[in-house]
Amino acid sequence: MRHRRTNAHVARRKILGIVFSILIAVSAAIDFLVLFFKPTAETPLATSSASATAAESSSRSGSGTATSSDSASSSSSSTSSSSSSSSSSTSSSKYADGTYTGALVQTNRGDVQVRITVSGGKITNVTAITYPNETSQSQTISAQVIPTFQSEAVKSQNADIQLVSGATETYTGFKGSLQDAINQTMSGSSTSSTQGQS
Amino acid sequence: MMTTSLFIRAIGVMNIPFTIMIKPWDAGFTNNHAKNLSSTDCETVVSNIRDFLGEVDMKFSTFKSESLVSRARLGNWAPLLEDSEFMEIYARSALAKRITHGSFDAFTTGLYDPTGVAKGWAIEQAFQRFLKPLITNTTTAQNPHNHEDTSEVYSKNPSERTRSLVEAVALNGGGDMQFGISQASQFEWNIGIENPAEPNTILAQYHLQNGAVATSGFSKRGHHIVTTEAFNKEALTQVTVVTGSITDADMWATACLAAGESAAVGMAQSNGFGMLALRPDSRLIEIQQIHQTWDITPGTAQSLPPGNPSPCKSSHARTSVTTTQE
Repeated sequence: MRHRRTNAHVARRKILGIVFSILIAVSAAIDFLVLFFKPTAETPLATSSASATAAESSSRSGSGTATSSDSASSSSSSTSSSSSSSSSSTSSSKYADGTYTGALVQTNRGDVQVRITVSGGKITNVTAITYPNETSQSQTISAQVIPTFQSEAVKSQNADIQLVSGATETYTGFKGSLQDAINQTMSGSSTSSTQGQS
Repeated sequence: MMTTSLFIRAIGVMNIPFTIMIKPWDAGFTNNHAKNLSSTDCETVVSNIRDFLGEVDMKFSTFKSESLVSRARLGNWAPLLEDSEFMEIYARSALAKRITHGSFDAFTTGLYDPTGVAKGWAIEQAFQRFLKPLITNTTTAQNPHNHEDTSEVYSKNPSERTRSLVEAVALNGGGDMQFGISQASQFEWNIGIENPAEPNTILAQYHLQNGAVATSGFSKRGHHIVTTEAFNKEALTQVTVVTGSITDADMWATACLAAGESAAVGMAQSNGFGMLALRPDSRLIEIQQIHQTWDITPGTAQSLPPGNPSPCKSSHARTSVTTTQE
């Protein structure tokens, strides 16, 4: 019983592996056809440069009911939401139908790539293909990695710590915080000497 | 005394307080070797960082209605095709979810909120672009014959290679930070971990040269973290993560807080980052980082620096979990 299930598992895994590699091959092929979409650079002339990859299909009608594996689904896209927003946003429906594969994002924890499906001129599906790096290494942290423990109130005058790590605070709450006090103390005693260095 | 000449500037972007620190070389060293940055140069660095963070905010703010994230939340995902950074953050969020086995999820609330990734990424980018060059690039001050290209003149002369413009730099964004020192320096950043119960006190101190520290907690602005009954037994009040990259540290801190105690310990051990977690009963759990460093500065890390010779003076019991497996 156990055994059989494991076998089934193995088989399924194999099939998945094959399917996966075919998908990669296909997406690589598409890349060559579609080229990479050129992101920020094209903002000012979004419509014209997008047409390199888009065969004109400005259907704003077809509300794509998206089936998304990674939850990014487009329903009724509210284009023109704010009048002030820069022109580029409205070009959302100018993309040719097909699958767009984003550039590979490499991180020290692995790689990831986004695949975007456009149909009816709208983004209907976004999938992220992840390749986590199992043997990822933590990067250099030299010096004392073991903390010393102390709970007394910090006298910022001692300037014996420079940086404070805590749960995110808002800028409005910053005044009077420990980091703020340290900043005040240390720059108070130092401004002149820093400037004198120039 | 070491830190008397720190250049410090606090700026507010994204409603987050950012503190920029630049440590010049001490005077004696300066005279003999490199020329320090002028305060004007420091101000330029500050304004570059401010501009960059402002751009990030315009794209990734969940509060600004015209941001790319806000548009995506309304169903307009076109930025994925139009903006490489937006796509990168989306991709990184997806990877983060996978790596943390779902503990980190940009869609926890049902709406896309990549803040947890975007913030760490922004700090790291700003650090790499504007601060790191100050501790890696060398100065031209000693090379009057060589001032043709002042921007890129980083002398090839090996004897000058380690004379970076400044000794150490740090960028702290609302308690999450990336910092580093020049190769020629032994400087240590002393980093206090805030006690959420009494924000003017600290739980512990780290003494680090290069790396990143991030803290997540329920105390202040809530990270979008879902809690369940079963979770409550395992709940942690605050988690600090120490590792090389602030993008990673931020992600792990959020994930550890969401995952609860035993899962957090497991994550730290299997992924090799340092962790300091605070339980609701005020006990501290410490996981030491597995040393896989390939750039250890010789002559550091053996001794406690002077100034805080009082370990374990606290009322917090210390549970130290070493990474050697049982």
